[in-house]
Amino acid sequence: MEKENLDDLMRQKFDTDAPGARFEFREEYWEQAQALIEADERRRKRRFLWWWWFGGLLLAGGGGLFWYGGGQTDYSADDAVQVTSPARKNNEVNDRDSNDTNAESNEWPTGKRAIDAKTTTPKSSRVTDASGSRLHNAATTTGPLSSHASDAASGSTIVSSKTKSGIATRSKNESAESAGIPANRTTDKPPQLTPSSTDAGMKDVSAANPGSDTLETSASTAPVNSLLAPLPPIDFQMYTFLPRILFFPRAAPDREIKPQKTSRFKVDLNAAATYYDTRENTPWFGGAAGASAEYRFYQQFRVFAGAAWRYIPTEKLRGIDTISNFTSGQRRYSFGYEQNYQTIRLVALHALEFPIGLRWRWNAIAVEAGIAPSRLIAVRANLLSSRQSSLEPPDLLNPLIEQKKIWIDFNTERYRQTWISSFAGIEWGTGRLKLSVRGFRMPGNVLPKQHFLSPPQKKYLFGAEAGLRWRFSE
Amino acid sequence: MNLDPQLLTAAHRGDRKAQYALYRVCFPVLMAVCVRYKRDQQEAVAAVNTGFLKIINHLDKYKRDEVPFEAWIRRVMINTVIDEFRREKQWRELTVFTDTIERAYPKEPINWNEAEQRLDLQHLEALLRRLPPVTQKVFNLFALDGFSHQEISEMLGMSEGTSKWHVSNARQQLQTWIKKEQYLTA
Repeated sequence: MEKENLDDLMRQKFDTDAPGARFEFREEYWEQAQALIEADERRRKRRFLWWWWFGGLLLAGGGGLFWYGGGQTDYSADDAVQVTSPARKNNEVNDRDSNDTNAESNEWPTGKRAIDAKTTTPKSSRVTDASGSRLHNAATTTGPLSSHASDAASGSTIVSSKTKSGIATRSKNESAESAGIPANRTTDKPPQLTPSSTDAGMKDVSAANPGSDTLETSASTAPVNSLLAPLPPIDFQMYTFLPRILFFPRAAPDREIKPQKTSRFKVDLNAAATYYDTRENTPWFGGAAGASAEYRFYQQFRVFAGAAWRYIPTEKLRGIDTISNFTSGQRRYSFGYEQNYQTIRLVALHALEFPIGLRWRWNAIAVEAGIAPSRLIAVRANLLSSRQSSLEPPDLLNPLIEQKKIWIDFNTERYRQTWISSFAGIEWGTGRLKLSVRGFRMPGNVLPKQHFLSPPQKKYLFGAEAGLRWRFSE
Repeated sequence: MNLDPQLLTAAHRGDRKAQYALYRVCFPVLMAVCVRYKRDQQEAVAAVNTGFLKIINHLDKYKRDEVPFEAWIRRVMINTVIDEFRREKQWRELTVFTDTIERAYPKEPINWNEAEQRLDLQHLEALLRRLPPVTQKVFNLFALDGFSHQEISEMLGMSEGTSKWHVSNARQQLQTWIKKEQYLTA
């Protein structure tokens, strides 16, 4: 039963320990501790400021995006009103022709396609179906409209249509070092100290054991008890430094006391370039950027959550979601006509995603997986607006006026607005900068429905992205 | 250890004088814990300072009615040492100590009464520090701080069997060294 005797011996010795007598307090120890405390206070302040800075940045970014998108929408709406106003003025001239067509109501809802409109208004579809795509715009007509439309290509077909109600206007988003460190140095005395019973006890034991001194003397000098003489003195340098120098020559720990960061919570910024595999079409390249927070909850395991903006390009898909609007009318006091043609071609989706997941880190490598609930916040399109004031071919005196603009629409009702994508990846890096590679899968109907001649919509979209992540703290 | 609650409150609030006073009181207690877990005094002081920082940051969580202050700071200190131990795992596992190979001594039982009289606390601490780092910590946690093998396995991320092996290994080593002294001085 030697093991019990050994444990008992050790326990008995350490239970009767009087640390107050053995370990002498030195002011230099307090100075080291004070440096550590001050470093910790500075770090807390910095963290606080970072959060404010990050919140302000998000607010400014969101406001800027909102303002910019609103301005573009104003342009297109005004332009459309300007374009259609002459046609309205010519209604009286064209009334006699409108009787022939007997067209029914030709309402252009924002969320329906021209194909649908074609089935309900066959006679007027010759005009509206010219582009063979979805009709969407807005303030083109408000009120009864009867106009002569002429096919720009052939110049022969004249169709008169009468609408009972106007086109629903496109909704637009118009919403809008610490200076307080006291100079308490070694001479400072504690303000209030209650004499402790432990201290008294320590002194008693120390008096009973005169051989016990500080730890330094016992380790380096000859022991008090002569029986201990053969025991070689412990060379701490050999035990600690030699193996470190052998295995980690450059990573030998510094003897100076440095502040150690014990936080399990880390915040980072990330950005990535994304490749979308569309298979039958040309691949796309998009991007994502955002911020995330990570919490180490058990050993190497971490949970993370964040917010990121994602740019999903769609322009490489053939015939996708082109919105055309064609209006034509006779010019007042003349035999000429004027034509207005608008094309809005969708080129990308802007989404906000909130990735949450689990990360397992082993040294410099981390493996991660999770899901990312996403919300569509805006669509980006190219707006091509052309206007011709005569049926004659364009020339110097009568030019074809074309305008191209990048157009961001926050009205995303016509598209899938929320979805969940899943991802898995690997990350490598030391220090604050990490390199990550991720693969992900998102539902295929995130993209708008394609033209009826296009291949059927895919069930899932796959992608891969490579990016960098920068941590605020190591 | 009876401390004025106002002192603890002031130390938690950031009053440097109160922190100094608390440090003076806590230092010997924390140092007694750290010298058993660390390999030299310098490392022990560094660990004490880290532990003290943790103590003043979490003073609001201390409930004086439930646990004595000394026991609470001992526990915080042990947790701090274990946290550091986990962080240093990378180099620690590759460190090999070759001095643990000892020659065999006669299998005579140790005279524990004699050993008790002969061995003082500093000597026992020196023997503990000669143990390999993981063995040293596991033995400290089990034999001196009263943690079970299950708790140790959770704290250090090892199996219970490994924890038991470390304790057994530590006992063997310590007994060998004590026998060696007994043999040489006989």
